[in-house]
Amino acid sequence: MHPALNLPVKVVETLFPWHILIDNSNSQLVLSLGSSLIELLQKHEAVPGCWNDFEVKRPTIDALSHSNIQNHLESPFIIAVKDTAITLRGQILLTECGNFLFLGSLLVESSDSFDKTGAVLRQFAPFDLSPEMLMLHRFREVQLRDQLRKVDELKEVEAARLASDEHANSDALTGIANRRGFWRDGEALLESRNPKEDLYILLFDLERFKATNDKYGHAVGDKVLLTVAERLNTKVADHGIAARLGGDEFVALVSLSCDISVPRWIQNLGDFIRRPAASLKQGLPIDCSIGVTTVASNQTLDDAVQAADYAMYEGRKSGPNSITWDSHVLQLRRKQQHLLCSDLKNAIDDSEIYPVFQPLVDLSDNNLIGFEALARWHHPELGMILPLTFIEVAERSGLLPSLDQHILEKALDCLALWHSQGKPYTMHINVSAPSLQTNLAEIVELALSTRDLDGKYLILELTETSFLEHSIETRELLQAITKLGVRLELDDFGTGYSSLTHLHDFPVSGIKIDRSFVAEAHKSRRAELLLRSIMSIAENLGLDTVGEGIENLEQLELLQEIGCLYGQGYLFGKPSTMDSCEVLEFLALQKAA
Amino acid sequence: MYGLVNRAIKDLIVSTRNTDTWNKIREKAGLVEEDFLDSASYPDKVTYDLVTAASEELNVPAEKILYDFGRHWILYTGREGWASLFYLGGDSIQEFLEGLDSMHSRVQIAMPNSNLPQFKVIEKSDNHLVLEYRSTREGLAPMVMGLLDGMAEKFNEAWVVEHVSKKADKGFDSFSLELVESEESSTSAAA
Ligand code: HEM
Repeated sequence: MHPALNLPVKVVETLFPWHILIDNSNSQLVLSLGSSLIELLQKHEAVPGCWNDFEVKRPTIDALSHSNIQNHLESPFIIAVKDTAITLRGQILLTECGNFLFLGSLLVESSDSFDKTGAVLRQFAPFDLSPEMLMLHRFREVQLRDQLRKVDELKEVEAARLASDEHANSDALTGIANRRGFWRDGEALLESRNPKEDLYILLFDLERFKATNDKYGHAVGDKVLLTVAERLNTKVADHGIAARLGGDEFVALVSLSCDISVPRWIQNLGDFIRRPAASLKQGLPIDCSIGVTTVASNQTLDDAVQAADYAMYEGRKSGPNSITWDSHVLQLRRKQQHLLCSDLKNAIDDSEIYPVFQPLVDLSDNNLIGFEALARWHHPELGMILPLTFIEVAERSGLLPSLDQHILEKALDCLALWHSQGKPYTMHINVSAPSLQTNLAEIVELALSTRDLDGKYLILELTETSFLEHSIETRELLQAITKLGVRLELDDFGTGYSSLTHLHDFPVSGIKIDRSFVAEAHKSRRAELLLRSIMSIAENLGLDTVGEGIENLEQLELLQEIGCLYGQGYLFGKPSTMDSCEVLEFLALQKAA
Repeated sequence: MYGLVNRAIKDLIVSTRNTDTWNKIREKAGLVEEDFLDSASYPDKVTYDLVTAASEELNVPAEKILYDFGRHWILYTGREGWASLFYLGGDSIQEFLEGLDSMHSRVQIAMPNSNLPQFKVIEKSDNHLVLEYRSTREGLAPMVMGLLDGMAEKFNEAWVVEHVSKKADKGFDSFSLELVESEESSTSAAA
């Protein structure tokens, strides 16, 4: 049975101001028409008042019969207006008071028919909203049917949907929310924030988690993550939500009363998370850095999480287990980095970033032996950008490997040129930690072979942080690189906290002694002793030694005296572009003389 | 897409195969629901997953599933009470295709979350049309082939439909429709 349309005549009259009521012997038909059609019909003095003025073309029924119409409520009707070229197409609906309502639109077979009336087609548009009404009516029926579908069935679907929704919003390993769930619940929490409390985003990053995974296996790594998630959730549940963002990164959004000491609350939370876990037999320490930001009322969740992430990242530079608050200074820096970040990629592609070369000399005869390539960025608007600044931007935006590769290519171009001029210099190139996660060995091999360069002229300088998350893959990669004849040197030696292990664990052939030792050694006895012991370790291990930051003759003489093999510093020359290196070569030769 | 579409896929499979097959396909597609609400909007992925799962389960290329679905859609909408909208659109394929966008835009009034395609008819001659089909979705051209063949059947017109250029090349698909001799169709083409 076709559901009736609940439309009393009054409503029909308002909804369809341009209708014609057709009186049938036993029922009325409301023909809804557009205003123009009525006008046209009036002009022809042919306002139809009964079925006789129309011809029902489809379905082929006797339209005078009420039951005939009722039996064809599902059918499309094509009704021609007699003596015109006009047909109406639509559907007849049954209204609640037993009337029929024809909803349809006008179709004119040929526009010629209007020529006779002096009207043009455009005057008939829009005719009325009948098709829309019809569509809405049909859709309403569909909705009603959807509503009437067995309540149980709908409930089941709903429950299943919900379960899959939960599944999609929680972290499979730890069971706490995942990134998606955090965003969903976090945004809701932001909207319903308690005016008496402040909202904070806390970002947690576990230290050396990858190393734990590699050393003890993933089962242990997973246990660490589970422990952290459980602890975080226990403490945070009453105040907000906690989630695992991925890897070893966790986040919490908490609403805390202005009456408590928030820094202390966070400190306690950090201590709680770091407590050694009984479930971790190895007595593994859980170290984590925390970044914190207050969520301003107009701040988006996205932005707050980024701010906390940035703070965490900044804090981590100063050592493990830091708690760092977002600050005005950090905000400014973040903004600046954000701007630079988008420029950086283009800068690499457009060679706005280029290498400069600082000479390295053999300390036994002060002969120039090669150069260290250092990246410089000349920004078209901002001018020179400090390497420290753009390297950090590259690091945060994942561009370090591209930057490294770019400098490698450019520097080797210069090296090849020097070699072709009969100057067999070596080239020292810095390689960042993320590059060790790439196919660096292949990149280096290709870069050398396309320039016909022997690997022994290339020295890659690695910082200690490259090894912080050392793994079996890293070691294999480094071995593959040394197989090319390329040497590895440890940069900034002495500033990290586990340098000696690295000398043992990795195929390193030399160290570059950090400038801070060189700067102090000729002034402080203690510094000199330190320098001497570094030197003797290196000698015993058969490692090359390069003294960095040599600025005056006293420093030079001391390094020569304690047996440092090579040196680098302003005394021999500042980093310069390849063209100006000609001058450097000349100066170095003069010094040697 | 609206549940209506997914339910039509279900209807196609249940009516040409059986409920068991449908259940297998449904599970393969990772669906939790046994059935769809016509009036609810589902992510497109549901529809695509269904087509992929059906293709795997029935060992039939996905294009063929889409084609069959297009043909079935004409039958299905007619049967499910949308028929009058068809006739509102016109009395011949050409008329109908010319009015398809406004028909779809009416669909949009009732189903505001729908994302409907656009069609353009170019009349090459009385019995040769070119139909351009533009959509933000990918890979649905075989379905349009099915829709056109289904419409030809519905209007009882004998058109030969060919997919002549692809979205990948021009940014939209186009189809050539050629009328082969048939009394009824020649009258409607002249109208
Ligand atoms: C009464 C008949 C029809 C109705 C009620 C209807 C309604 C719809 C609906 C509800 C959708 C899904 C939109 C969404 O959920 O995002 C759709 C999609 C579509 N319709 Fe129709 N339609 C009809 C006839 C036709 C015909 C005859 C064609 C012939 C070419 C056609 C071509 C399409 C195509 C190709 C799509 C896929 C969407 C895309 O390409 O992005 N439809 N239609």
